[in-house]
Amino acid sequence: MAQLEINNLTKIYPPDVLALDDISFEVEKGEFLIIIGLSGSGKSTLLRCINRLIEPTEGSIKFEGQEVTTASSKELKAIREEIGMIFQRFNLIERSLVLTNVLTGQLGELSFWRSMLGRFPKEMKRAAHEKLETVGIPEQAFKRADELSGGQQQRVGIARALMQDPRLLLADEPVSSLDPATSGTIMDYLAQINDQGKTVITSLHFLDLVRKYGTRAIGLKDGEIVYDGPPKGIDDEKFKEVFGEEAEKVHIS
Amino acid sequence: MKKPKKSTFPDLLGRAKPFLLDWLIWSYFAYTTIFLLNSYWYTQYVDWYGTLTLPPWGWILTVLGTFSCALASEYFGLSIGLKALTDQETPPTKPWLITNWGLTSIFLVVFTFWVGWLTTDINLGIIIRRAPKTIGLWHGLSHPNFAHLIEIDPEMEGSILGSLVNTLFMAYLATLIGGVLAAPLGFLGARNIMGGSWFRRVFFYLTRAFFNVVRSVESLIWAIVFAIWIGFGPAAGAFALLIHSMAALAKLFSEQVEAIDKGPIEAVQSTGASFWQTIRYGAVPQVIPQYMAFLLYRLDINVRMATVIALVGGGGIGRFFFYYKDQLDWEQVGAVTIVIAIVVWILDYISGKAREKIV
Repeated sequence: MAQLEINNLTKIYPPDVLALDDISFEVEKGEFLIIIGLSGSGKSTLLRCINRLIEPTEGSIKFEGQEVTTASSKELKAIREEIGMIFQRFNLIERSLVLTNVLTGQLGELSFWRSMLGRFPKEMKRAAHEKLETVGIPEQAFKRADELSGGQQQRVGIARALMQDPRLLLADEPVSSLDPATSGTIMDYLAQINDQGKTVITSLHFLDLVRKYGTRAIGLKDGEIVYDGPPKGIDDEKFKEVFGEEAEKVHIS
Repeated sequence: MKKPKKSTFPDLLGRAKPFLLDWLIWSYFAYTTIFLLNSYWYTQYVDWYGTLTLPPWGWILTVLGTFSCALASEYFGLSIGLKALTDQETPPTKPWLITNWGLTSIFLVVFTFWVGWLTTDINLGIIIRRAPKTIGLWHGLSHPNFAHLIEIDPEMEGSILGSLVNTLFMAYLATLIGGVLAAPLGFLGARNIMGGSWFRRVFFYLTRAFFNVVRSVESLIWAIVFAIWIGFGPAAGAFALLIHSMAALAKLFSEQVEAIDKGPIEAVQSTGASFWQTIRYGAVPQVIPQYMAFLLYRLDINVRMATVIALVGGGGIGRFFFYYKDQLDWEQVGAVTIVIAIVVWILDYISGKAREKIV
């Protein structure tokens, strides 16, 4: 059984904008799947449907055998705890400390009153510091999140996702807001996480990154899958099909 | 994403709305014109409903006239309806003043000013003629009598400063408790939090209705209610300020909550946090600074309101003011006025500085 099974996934934004058109594919455990496509091709929508931040209009999404689209709120919470997510604009809580941001990763495990009062247990705090060390910024723990640079903020996002110890990591254009050098560092972290056995599904713009990091690539155009295979298989012809006739390759080394 | 096929039906509702607004404006012009004609033709002063005495043909003429003017206004350039309700732009080469909507707006302002002047019976001559009557008042204000500043006035059962402290506490308490109550209410009145289930939407509309009703009733009137309910005195004043502040703050809070960034909330949600955890960690940190600023602003208003709420039985330093005024004791009235002015001034300054620091 594949870890993630998506069947006939369709998303229509009212009144009649078709974002995803009958998408079906499967993801095995341990894959590094990269989704490429133009802005507006449906990449973000697809990722957000997987953990139901966006409600699909039709179709089924099965994560480890459990149906996500019809899960109750309790079941959904449990599913979300196993799926970590990082975002293009980092989505940190700007006025809170970096450490608090990382700690929010394990809110699901905390009782109501402890979380309301902000009393995180010592082991959780230690784990949070550990995760910050894993992403290389342990000294930033007590700074306000908006004092950090873009690359550092994204690393905090990764640390937050790691706190969940997820089996699947979703990354919605994690490097689109970063410069080429920092992008490489972030992608390296994702690759490290993948090496440890976690499945990674990410969306990207740059073909170079796709070729360097992915084990599999899916091309989306206007909400439909136009390519599904190894990254090397995207030759010039396929590239034009996914990105359009006018597109030209930009190199980012 | 695939774009949908464009509908070929003319956007009737969209075109009706600016037209109706234009018609409303022309009807207003008709009203003001008839009012002015009435007031200058028949008597010097006409009640606002005096314009409604039209012969039968007058009504038909007015309706047809305004209707055609509204239709025509769209042909003389951008009418007010179009400007306000659609996205059409004035060509940048045309200065604002000579466009259709520009001229119409100017006439609106002029006519309203004219009619307003007539209905409110403003008479500049009186200001000059009756000025000498106020000499007693000004004399009292400039020669204040601080006899009972610290010493207790037996008739009032208190001193001015003592009552002032009382008043300040009244305002502080009302603002604090009102603010604490308003915080969760603010979330319940925010569209982005209260979407989803049918139950939540109903709650949202009820909460919003509650805010609007309670806010519309000024603290002074609430004080009358509470003075009857729990008796005259500072408690009534405190309750009145409290309930009005709670509604006003909740409305402001809810607007803040609606303006928050969805991103951090999505992020906390995606980790498997519960609804309340998401609010506490994703939404609340974004709104706290503005909350504090609103609280301080409200405190300002409440202090000022607390000084006069004695008018309707709310207790506080206003008692002194109105008592001395009834005795025509202008010197002591002056004393109370000066004390109030100084305190409010100081508080304004402090809260201004504090708000600067927060936001």
